[in-house]
Amino acid sequence: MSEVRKFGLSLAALCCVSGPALALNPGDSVENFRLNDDKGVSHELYYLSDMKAVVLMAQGNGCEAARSTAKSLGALRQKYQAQGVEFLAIDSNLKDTPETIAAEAALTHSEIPVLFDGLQLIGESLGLTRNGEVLILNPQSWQVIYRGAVAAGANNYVADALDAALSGKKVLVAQSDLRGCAILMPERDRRQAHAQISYEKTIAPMLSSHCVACHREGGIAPWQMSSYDMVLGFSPMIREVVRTKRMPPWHADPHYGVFSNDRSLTNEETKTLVHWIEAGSPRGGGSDPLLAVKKDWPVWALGKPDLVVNLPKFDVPATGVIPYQMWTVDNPLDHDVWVRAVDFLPGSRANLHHVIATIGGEMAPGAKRDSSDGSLADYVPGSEPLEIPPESGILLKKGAKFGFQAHYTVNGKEATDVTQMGLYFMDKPPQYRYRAAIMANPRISIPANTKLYTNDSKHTFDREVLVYSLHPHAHFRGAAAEFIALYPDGHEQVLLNVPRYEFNWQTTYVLKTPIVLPAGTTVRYVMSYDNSTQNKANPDPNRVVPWGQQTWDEMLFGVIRYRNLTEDANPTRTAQAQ
Amino acid sequence: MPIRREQLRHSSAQGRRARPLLAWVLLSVAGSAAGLAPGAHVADFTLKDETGAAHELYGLSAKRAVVIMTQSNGCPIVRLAVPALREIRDRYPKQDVEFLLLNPTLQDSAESVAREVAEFNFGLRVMLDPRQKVGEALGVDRTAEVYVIDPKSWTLVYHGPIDDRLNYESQRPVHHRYLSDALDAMLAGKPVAVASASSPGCLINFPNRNHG
Repeated sequence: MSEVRKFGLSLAALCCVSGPALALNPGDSVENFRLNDDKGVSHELYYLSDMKAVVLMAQGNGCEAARSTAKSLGALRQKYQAQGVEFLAIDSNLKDTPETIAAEAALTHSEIPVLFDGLQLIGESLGLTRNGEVLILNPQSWQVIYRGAVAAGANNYVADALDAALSGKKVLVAQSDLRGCAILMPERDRRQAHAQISYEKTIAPMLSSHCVACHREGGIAPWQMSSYDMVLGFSPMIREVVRTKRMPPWHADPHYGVFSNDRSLTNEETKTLVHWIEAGSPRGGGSDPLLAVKKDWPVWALGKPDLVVNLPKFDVPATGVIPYQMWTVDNPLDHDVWVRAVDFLPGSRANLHHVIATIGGEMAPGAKRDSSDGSLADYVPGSEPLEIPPESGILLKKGAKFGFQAHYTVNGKEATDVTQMGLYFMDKPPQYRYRAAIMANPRISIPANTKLYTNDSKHTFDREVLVYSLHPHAHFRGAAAEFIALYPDGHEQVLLNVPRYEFNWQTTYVLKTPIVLPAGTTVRYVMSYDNSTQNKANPDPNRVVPWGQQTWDEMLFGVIRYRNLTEDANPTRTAQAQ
Repeated sequence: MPIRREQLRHSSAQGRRARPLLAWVLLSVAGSAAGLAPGAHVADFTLKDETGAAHELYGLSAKRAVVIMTQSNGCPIVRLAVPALREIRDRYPKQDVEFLLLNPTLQDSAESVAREVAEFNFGLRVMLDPRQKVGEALGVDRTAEVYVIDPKSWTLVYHGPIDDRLNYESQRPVHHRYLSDALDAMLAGKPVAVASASSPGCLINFPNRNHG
């Protein structure tokens, strides 16, 4: 252990009693994090492991020191970017918002992406105190190789440090004094208070309501939040997955739209959880609510279904990557029915990753469709049953066939799955038909070894509609998704931004308040792909990737669930859009 | 908006192919864990496994290599790595290479580890380190870290993952067989070319180290 680290440890011990938070000194390593920038683009620090150096600047709106630093870095960026140096800024100021950050960038003509750290959790761990400060990181070790001013007088600290780093030499001046605008970080001085956060009253209830549905006996999560000891043992991991936005598995940019199935923690919850872990995950007094988590989860949340459909039996191997399973199952009914709700009962919850159920099977673009074919429902772990909004329903005609796309994940042991789908019917035909607009672009062709490829698909609604939900779908190379409404009057609205698309989580984003789109509105669904080696899920970066149903190929496939605002007298006769 | 995203990403520095990270992920908030570097001396220890049998490191002096992989119950990366470790074990003569797992966590017990071993058919013994002393001495940070030790000198010759297949919630084809390559080199009396690599796994809580 180095002297710096010994010193760090003793300071760390001190910090929790009094004093300021520990600074992050040259030689110390920076932990991974993921933040969105002011334009809604997601950045993960460790994704940049193929860079020669990463320059990170503390940004604050209206701060002259930050403005002059940004200007200097802008000039350095012109020179060093082509040599493999990435430039980023991070705004950890409580008063700044993505809008004011974007306005500041426009004002100062800065092209450096500004990561928005509104919770200050990343700024706290980076030891940021003043806007205008620059950190240079070595992406091989994630160590800080320089922190301080961009330059002072004749000393071009950052340029000199980059020259040294690029030529494999030691950085001579690794730290410099800095005059900049102070960053107010109230939580940094409240470490002692964080040690008083109650496990019993605050942390355990938070985990129970957000995590335990999957992190329980028989749930899909690999480990169970079954006691304080388990949470304590996994505390550093919990902190990491929260900081890198892997958990809870919710990927929508909170800046756009409000969704009823939002799985994320609130800002306050996130801060409280991370600060509690940074305080050492103290047990405190009281009972352990996780010991009392209910053991018997309901078989069918909505009661006994009117029809149970068995999916085919599937033997899950212990390890490897399993192709998507595509199945067709006959509808046993001899009469037409209207569906009001759909639920799934996984056979092996630990293996079943998702199911996409349709009436009529896979929706290959251009294929001839029956007017009653379409999406039915999706299963993802932790999801609620689909309950179709009142007055609406999905027509299931006799003789129709169910189509299922099932994705299984391996967990180190073999298992057999028979999943069931439960359907709930309406007593009489609904006033409205619950519809699906399919947006697909089979012309995608993703170049090899490319970090960003973007394409889109558009759908124009020729009638006034009420939109309920949005569903983007891609495979291993999917990187980001966006649904943008272009209204007839010319203005645009982002309905959903998924800055980090995660193929493992096939989420349908359900709008908390359904949105009316006037006739003539076009929705543009944009999908970005990462076919580089930096994408850790990419099976082959050297391949030009075409459209295909299997995960090694790609899809640009989106679903909008909606109804017409005014329905024809008999919805049965209305042709299904798309 | 999409156009901004395209511009922004295209304007970012163009990367080259990723090189293996020779890095440790360190807790920056409250002190740092320094991983044991290749070439470092590994001190002797004796730990019991989940069946109660004792394993003394220096008791393995007749072997030509000792492979220890860190484990914790419930970590998906370990569960997916163990079959690969077993395959590698089966490729080397039993008398030459010893393969063991090490659980340096506070939350797992001999009983719960025995259940995990049986449920996931590990086929490997798991040494328990409930006081975390061995984990601390080795500078363990995460599960699924492999330590290859040379019993001639008791030095660390490789530290990192089995290969580059696994990541969080994803797998891809193997390009670098770090562990096999290290063992092949050792058994051929050659130096190990890649002595460390970045290792995904579940962070293990070492409260005394992190908050001491």
